[in-house]
Amino acid sequence: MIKTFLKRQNAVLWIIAVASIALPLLTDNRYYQDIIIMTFLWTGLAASWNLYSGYCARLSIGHAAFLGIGAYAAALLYTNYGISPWVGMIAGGLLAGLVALVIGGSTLRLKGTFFVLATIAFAKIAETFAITAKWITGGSLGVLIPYAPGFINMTWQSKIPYAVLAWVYMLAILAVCVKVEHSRLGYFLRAVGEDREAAENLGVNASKIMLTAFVMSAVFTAFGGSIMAMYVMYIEPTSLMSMTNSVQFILLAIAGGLGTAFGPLAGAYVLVPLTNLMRGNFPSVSGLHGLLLGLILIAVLLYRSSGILPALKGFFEKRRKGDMG
Amino acid sequence: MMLLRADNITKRFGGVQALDHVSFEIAEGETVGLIGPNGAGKTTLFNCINGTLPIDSGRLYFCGNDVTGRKSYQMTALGICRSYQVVKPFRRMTVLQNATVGAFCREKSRKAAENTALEALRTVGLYEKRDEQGAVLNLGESKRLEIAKALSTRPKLLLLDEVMAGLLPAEVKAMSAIIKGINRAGVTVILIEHNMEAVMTLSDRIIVLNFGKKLAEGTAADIAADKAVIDAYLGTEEEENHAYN
Amino acid sequence: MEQLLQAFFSGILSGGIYALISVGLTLIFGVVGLVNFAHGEFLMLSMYIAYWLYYFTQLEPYETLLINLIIMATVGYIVFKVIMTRVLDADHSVQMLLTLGLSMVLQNLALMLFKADYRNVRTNITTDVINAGFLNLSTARVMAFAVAIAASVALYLFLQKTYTGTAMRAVAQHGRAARLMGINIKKIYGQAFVIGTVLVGLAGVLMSPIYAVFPTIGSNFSTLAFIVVVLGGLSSVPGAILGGLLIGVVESMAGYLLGPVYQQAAYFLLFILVLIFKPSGLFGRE
Repeated sequence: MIKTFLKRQNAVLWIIAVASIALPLLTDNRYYQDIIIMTFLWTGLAASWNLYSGYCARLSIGHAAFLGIGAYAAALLYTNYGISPWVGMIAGGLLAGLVALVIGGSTLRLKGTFFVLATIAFAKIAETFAITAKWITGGSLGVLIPYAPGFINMTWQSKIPYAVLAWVYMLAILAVCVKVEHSRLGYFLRAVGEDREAAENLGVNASKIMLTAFVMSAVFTAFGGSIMAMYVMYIEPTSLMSMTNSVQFILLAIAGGLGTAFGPLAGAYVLVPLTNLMRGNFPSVSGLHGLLLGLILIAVLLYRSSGILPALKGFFEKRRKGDMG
Repeated sequence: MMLLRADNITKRFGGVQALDHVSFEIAEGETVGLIGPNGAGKTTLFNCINGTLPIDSGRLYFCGNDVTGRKSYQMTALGICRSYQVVKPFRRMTVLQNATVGAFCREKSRKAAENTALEALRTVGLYEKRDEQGAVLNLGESKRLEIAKALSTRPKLLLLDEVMAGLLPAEVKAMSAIIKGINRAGVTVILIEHNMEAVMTLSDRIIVLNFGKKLAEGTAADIAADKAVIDAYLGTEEEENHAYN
Repeated sequence: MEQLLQAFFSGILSGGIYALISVGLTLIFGVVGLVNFAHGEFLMLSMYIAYWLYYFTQLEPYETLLINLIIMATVGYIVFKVIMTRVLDADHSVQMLLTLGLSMVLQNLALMLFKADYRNVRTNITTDVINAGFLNLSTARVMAFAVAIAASVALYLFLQKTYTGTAMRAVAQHGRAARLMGINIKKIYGQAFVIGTVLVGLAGVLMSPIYAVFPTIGSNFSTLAFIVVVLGGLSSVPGAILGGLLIGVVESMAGYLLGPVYQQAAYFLLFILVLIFKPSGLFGRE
């Protein structure tokens, strides 16, 4: 059975991902439903991040900015102009893709550390813009989204439709990641991530490949941002585009296993409920969430730099050897 | 028609003249040896031919077309691919995946790319190792993987950079057979090699570089009798002996 | 015009402090090759130490300087021993993420222990002003500037003139060659890390009469220090000093000419432009 698990690991994880839609239906506790929705959303978001940074081995610590672009696009178009958030989501994706094209294109030449710093600066600029451009974004007060239930408004009274939406988002991103992993793009991305010169020698147009993945990653992240904004119904720029949010992308993907399609799922399914439950049980202690994220990040890097999935695999392989011996 | 024509290729690194007006021609189907003392500019010449380094002046013609200034991925698409002296396997990918990256240069679908890659792995004798990670190969296997990756791009011209360096005598023999087989299958080969015996027997022609200049060109017998070549090699040997004494 | 000059000089004064924060970061990056995202949290730590010492003893931060720096040196040493030594050979991104994790832990720990309140050290020097012609300069800022520049120059001289300093430069340029020459690399790494931490600790002491301390104060300054370090050409101490002054002036002038909200945006923009067009830094060599 363990052997089949190893062989069919992806199939098992697919089943877990698909079956988890049962979870929000099993409880009518809105608090648990909220955690489940956040888990779905963050799985999709971390997988989006992983698509570029995980496969390409280039760390973006600025993805919160793309999250923000998606969130603002949906929220502002809806709140100010009454445009359906579904349209806003598409608009946000397009805008994020465009921004990614500019940022990604101008930072292609930058080596590891410099690229990381550039992404941080990018997120800071986006945050500063959101706070200062009051006439567009509403400034540091943020955006309060009016409550008018209806499918067209992406607003519901029950949490179940949100859960379904987040679940569909997660499955769609995972499907794209699996598809990419087995395709030319995925092979090229990993090759570029390991050795850019060697990849180019094999005919890989590294710049084009990296840019493609960066834009895809940004667009998918922005979609998630739109859903998140409509679910929370409120945007607060400093926390939305904070470093902590940017790190959350990275932490979930790394904890699960970098550069594997299902790594972010493993990371998010374990860590999002864990950190949210902790925060929920000690609501008066501010800073606990960030502290936990930091500690987990350190622990993962020091003890299991390859992540949960490979570790699980290693565990099963050891067990199997033990069985035979 | 000549497959490759290099016309006065020149490359400078700061004050060092790495390549100084190097010209030569390679006919389709040939195996040409590129030899010369350390620092003669052999690897730099490879880097210039496959587009890894831009050349300062001179022109490069491939299949009759001017391809000067193309980037390395474009050169690969045209049909020039190289192997690296310092092996560069993709360490976190399997042997098959390594070669499949190259095969995707011509194939769109994964099935087709994998078939091309498997064929290349058979050619170099790594078929059995196809599911191993790139990181676990030993030196001889890594060198063969380098060739398999390059072969997977279906090159017309294959540039092999010291694929025998560090190999055991038996492995050198096997490698010679592999190269011969590749050439017989219709791929033109230029090889940089320090193993004189191997290069003399494999090559139809030999080009000698020294201090970035073409010193001599001809058959193995011509080169072995060439005064300038002997001086260049003996000269360096004398210096080396001096250094050791 | 007078106001413009006033803005320029207060920019120079802040720039001195930025320089001091950045030389510590530069030293750690140049010698150890470590991008230390927790550098700003070390600054925060030192400011809290200064604050609590002042709170309990009513002593000025300057008076508790020595205690503060000793604590900072100890913290630097422990962090290096317990965490950094384990990832010295690891990939750069692993190191970066690790220090990022450390910064989150320190920042949120401060939030849990001290709450998000702004805490001020209020002593005579806080409100003192020096009048030089039409210029009004805060005494604490002038003091901070003078000490910061002196300390940065002292670090430069230390690297140039002493044996340990020379060894650090050797390690910075050629780690492996330096090892062959018999230099104990790990020891040099440790020393550089501790010195860098002490320098940022000094900056914290100098800043505590000027800025209120709160848990996230470090993150503002650490991003700023990174920008300074890149502008300065990564591992050059004079470059970091010049970069610090430049950022101070850019920030202050942007604040005066465009409005305070554009201060940050101005230097981030400068940073991105430099990254794109001259990644070796404004003062770095190609």
